Amino acid sequence: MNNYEKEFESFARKVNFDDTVDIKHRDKLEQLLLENFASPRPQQSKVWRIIMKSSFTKLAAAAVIIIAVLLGLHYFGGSIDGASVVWADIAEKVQKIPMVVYKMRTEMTGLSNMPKDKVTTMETVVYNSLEFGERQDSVAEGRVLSQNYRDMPNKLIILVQPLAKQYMKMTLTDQQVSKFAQSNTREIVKHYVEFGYTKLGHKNINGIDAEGVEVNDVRVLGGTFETLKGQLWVDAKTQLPLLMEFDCTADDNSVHTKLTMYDFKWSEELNRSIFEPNIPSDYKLTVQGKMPDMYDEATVFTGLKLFAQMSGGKYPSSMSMMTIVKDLGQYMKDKHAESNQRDMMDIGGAAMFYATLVKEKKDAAYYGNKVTAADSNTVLMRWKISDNEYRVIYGDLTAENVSAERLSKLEAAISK
Amino acid sequence: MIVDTKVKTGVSEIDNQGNNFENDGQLISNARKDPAAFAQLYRRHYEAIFGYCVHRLFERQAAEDVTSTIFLRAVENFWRFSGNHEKSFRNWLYTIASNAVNDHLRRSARRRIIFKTVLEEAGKELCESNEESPENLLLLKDAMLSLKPKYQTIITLRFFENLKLTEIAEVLGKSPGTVRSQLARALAKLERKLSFARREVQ
Repeated sequence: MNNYEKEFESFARKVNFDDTVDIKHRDKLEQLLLENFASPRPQQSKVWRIIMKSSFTKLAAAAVIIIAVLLGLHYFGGSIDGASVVWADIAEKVQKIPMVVYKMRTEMTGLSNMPKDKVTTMETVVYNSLEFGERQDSVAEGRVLSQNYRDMPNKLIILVQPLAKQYMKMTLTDQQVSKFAQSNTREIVKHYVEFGYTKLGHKNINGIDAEGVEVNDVRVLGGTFETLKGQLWVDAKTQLPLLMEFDCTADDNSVHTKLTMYDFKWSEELNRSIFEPNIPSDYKLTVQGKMPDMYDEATVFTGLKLFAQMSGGKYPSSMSMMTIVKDLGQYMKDKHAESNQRDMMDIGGAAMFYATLVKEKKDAAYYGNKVTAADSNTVLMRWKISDNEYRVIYGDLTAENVSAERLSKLEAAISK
Repeated sequence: MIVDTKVKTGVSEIDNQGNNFENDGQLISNARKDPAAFAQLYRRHYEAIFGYCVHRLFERQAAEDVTSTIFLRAVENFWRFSGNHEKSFRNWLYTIASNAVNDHLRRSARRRIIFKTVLEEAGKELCESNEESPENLLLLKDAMLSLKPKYQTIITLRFFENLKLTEIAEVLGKSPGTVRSQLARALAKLERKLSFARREVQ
């Protein structure tokens, strides 16, 4: 460096530029970039803005996001009985891996107020750590719909929605934290083994020899759907999952969802910062409070009551999460989904409570397709609490414990 | 909003600007298909690119506008970017940035004549104060904007963005030797302009 270079360098250091980053500009540009990411065509973002103005699409987006939050509480498992040693070993191996990253594609058809064949697609990147929890970034049409954090060290669920510049913060009980610790993709792998499977043999997936199994039990995904067919393919060499696919239906086959989990990285080392939410200061906190407790009976009363208020006395036709989302769509056409997220969370909580009963084999039944809030003496939901005793919730949301004989008579009256 | 995140793979590199390009290959690879990863990449480079624009344009508003243009061009043309390291991505961004700034300067050349009168007035006021930096800023601005865009680019990348000659060469698609000789010419011109301007101020 010659003398003048040194002199100029010294001069340049003294110049005081106004070059502090304006966070607002940075964030605004980021959104614009994400909008343009999927397709370089300039029309893309315009189309998405138009779509997002539709009240239904807002609902669909909000519903999908909330399902994602609630699903995390479902994957709690039991023991692995009756599985062949090899598959049980795979499930156990996966349970012990500290971190995993994978992608999930969700394709839905049959949602309310959408054209029959319209496929709503969402891509999610999932980061999971046994120690720190989970983060899910969901993108649709090139825009980040949500970032869902399961912040285990701080016992929090945080859902950030960049499009709306808002976020939700829900606290977890110790019991929920403990369930979350077991509730992740690893648990789904375990369910494949736990709920009975059939072997599919070998196939080549992207040049890798894979071995597969198939399940047909809705409990694998925590009762979110009414029917489910799932396939799990494992790398025959590493014995680690390569691909998981679910074909699911709800609302008497009218809602169809295909879930594909792929691009697994089982040996990823993730920095803790990836699990720590960094919420811009101008984002609005829209929902705060406790997560619905799937073990508390009050959860089901709160959810059903809210649903009945919205629908004018009707209940969801079934308690699968997807059916509830579809039914809600019918009643919320003219409302802004964002303002009802707390309600949706609580209604989803009712579905979680019911799914828990089903999963724990408590002989649960639900008759929302036949019973309304006006049916004070008709059984809306029931489950077994002891050998000869059932808990019954009636259409008017009163409840009592009845014997098996009495329940039988009450249920006979429903079908009349 | 996307948060700043880092995924460790054990590969770490710190450049001459103090940037830690940790796991850059993985991030570049992810960013090709994952908007969230691209957003992460964007956040890591926003400040540098915005800084470059301010150092070239001397105007905050214009710098933000051009920064937007640069990143929009980047997202549209990302599929063309063949590098697999974050450092080469940064250099690619500087290439886009240099072109975008030069385009902006060409477009606003006529307007600058109008602004000049306003700036001269503002300059008088600033020079009356005892603060050294604003005075230097105006001197530098005047001197830099009178240079050819290619010289402005080299001076800014070398002295304000602290790039090495080899890196500037990569940004401009020239040999390091050519960059060195152009830098020498640019500095000589700048020296004359600044000396003249200083004498005028005194």
